[in-house]
Order: sequence, then structure tokens, then C-alpha cells
Amino acid sequence: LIRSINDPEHPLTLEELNVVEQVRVKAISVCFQQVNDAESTVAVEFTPTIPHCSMATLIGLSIKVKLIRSLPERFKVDVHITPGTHASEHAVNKQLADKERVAAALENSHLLEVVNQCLSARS
Amino acid sequence: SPRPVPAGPGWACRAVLGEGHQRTVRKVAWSPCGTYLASASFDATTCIWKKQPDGFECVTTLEGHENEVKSVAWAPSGNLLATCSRDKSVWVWEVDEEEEYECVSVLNSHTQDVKHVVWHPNQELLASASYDDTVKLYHEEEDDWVCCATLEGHESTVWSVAFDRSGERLASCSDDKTVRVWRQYKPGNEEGVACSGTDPTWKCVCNLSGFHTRTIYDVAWCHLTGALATACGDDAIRVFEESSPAAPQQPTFSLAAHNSPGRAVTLHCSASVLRTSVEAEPSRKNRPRVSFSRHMSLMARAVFPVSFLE
Repeated sequence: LIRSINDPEHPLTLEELNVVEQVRVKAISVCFQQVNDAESTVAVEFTPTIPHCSMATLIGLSIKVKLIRSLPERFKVDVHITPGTHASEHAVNKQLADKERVAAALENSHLLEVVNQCLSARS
Repeated sequence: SPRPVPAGPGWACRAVLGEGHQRTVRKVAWSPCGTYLASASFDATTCIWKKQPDGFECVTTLEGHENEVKSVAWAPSGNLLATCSRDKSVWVWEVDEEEEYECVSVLNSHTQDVKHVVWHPNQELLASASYDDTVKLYHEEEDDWVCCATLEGHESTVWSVAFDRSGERLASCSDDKTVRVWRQYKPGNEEGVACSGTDPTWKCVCNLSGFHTRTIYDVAWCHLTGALATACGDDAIRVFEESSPAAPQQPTFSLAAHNSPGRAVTLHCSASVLRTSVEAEPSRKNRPRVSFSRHMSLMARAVFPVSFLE
């Protein structure tokens, strides 16, 4: 499920991801930190390949989208960077946790296409 | 085009205003006189609709924000409107008798997205809530709108703000899972709280923590009973009542009612009725399961806005 997500490159915020043109294939390490079926919550940590990876937001967003699409609707999905593995982890985590920013960003068809590319390509 | 929504008991859909916006409509607000409806959208515009005998007509579209408009609010006087956006700004608009709208101020005080704007109940004072973790207050000083206070304390995005009936206090709710109540202290106040110049200082007098398990998206303060209601990402609505006798400098609120996912809980709101609505995510079906009655049973999902009927 998670292993099929790519590791692309470019700017930092959800809104800046709008300009991403190209996607490169690479594996990313993801850990299901907590799955609570009774409370319908899933918390996932991912480790960007390098501490200054500017694609961390896109990776996180792709993981989030993949989980939301794969899990029953009742699930609350939290995706964050493995603590200590990225220079801007707070900023990235905060964006991924903001459902309004995520929803607004995903209304952009180009970004949605990039996310779908991330989720579909095989290495 | 939008589908007609099934009506609940006593409610009928009068109009579907499908032609105004190109993207998500984030907020709607009735003017105090009830004739106009403002709609704020992710398409960066705010439409003003006028109620006509046979429906609604878009009288103007307010443009200027660079990206998603998150909130719109009418001042009680009816002559002023405020909007806010992910572009970090708050805009104040003036409307005259000829229905002409003019932007009178662009306030760039916040350093991140502005989520919500609300007017003071009886003064021309505006409050805004932001992704920068603060609440800011604005008023007009010598013909210019300025930021006159910044309320710091929340540890994450402030999603919404509500004034109490008197406007002496405001409540803010946040991604940090707390609700904070702030009180205004005017210059020369008895409690000895320092003020700079003629502007009041706002201090946090209550922090409701430990009640919510996820982001709190909205807070409403009932002007009739003084109860606080919150809308939370953990699918619950909570109502808090102020403990009496009221200690103004250190108010305490206790949880009076709470509905949880999967269980229908009856909320008894003696004098007022709680209204809420279910979030609609763009890619999912909206399944409203809310009914309105004097004694309410609520089963809701990820409660987004909550408000008391006046």
C-alpha cells in the first residue's frame, strides 16, 4: 500500500506544490505508529530521505490521500514526519493537519494529478 | 449543479444559489437586516446576494483577496463587512444606502492564514483568528483601521472566536484542543491590569483544556444563556455552562452536555436551540443526520460550524 509512493522534488507548502512538474520514483519509509479501530484513528509517521527534503509536504499529502481513500470514512488520519528527521517538520506537520488547507490544495486538479502520479508509479 | 437537500421537519429549501462561485463556498452570513446574504468562497471572492420576492439576486462580487476567502461577517450596524483569507489579510468593506461596497482597509497584521472574522456585538471592533496561533482585534483610529490588540497563548491555529453578549469577553478555539476565554480590561481598571494608551488590554482568564481530543473548529457563545458550545474534529458537540456565582477574573466553565460518535445523546438547551451542521468533504458524500427540536438528539460527524439561534 504505502511502498508504492514516489519521492518527487520541488517547493515546500501545499499551495506551492501547484507548480510541481515532474515526479521521480523512489521508496519512502513509512511507519504505522498507531491504528485504533475502536476510536477510528490512524497515525502514520514518515521519514523523508534527507533532512531538507523540499518534497516532504507532497510525500505527506500523498500518504494522507492514499490512507483516506483506502480506509473506511469514519477514520481520522494523522500523518506527520518522524520526529527529528526534517528541518521544517513542524511547518510540514501543521499543514498536513489542517484539513482546510489540504482540502483547498486538493481542489487543484494539477496537484491532484501529481499526487495520483506519486501514488501510482512503480519503482 | 448542487442537488436539492432533503428538508427536515418544518424546513424547506427555498433557493439554490449555484451560479455565484467557482469553488467551495466556505462561509455564509446574513446581514443584520436580513435582506442580504454574503457568501465567502475558495475562489477568492465574496458574493453579496439580495433577497427578492422570487429568489436571490447577486448584487455584487467583492474581489481583491489573493486566494481562498475563509470567512465573512457583517457588523451589527449593517454598514460594515469584514472578510479574511489564506492570503493573511483581513479586509474591511463599507456599504452605503445605494448598495455600493468599498474596501476601506486591508489589514496585514497576521503572519499566516486568517480563518475567521467576527464583529463585537455593540462596538465597531473586529476580531480575527489565524493559523499564526493568535487572535487579533481591530478598530478605527482617526479614519484608519488598525490592529489594537493581539491575543497570544494558543499553541496552534486558532479556528474561531466568539464574543459574549456584552462583548466584554471573547472565547477562542484552537487546533491545540483548548478553548480560551479572554477578558477586556480598560485603562484605569480596578484590577490594576496595565494598558498602553487608550486601548484596552485583553487577558486570558480561562483555559478549557482536557475536554477535547482533536482540533476544535468552532465555538459559539449563547447570548441568551451564556453557554458555550464547541464543534470538534472528534465528532462531538460540547456545551459548557459557566459556574455560578460568576467570578469575573477567573470564570470556570463545566461541561453540561456532550454527544459522542455512535451514540445519540439528548441535549437539553432550555431557552435556546443549538444549531449545527455536518462537514461536507469535497470527495465524500454528505450524510446529514441532524434533527432540530427543543430537546435534541444529535449524531454528527466532524462538527465544523456551530451556532446558537438568536
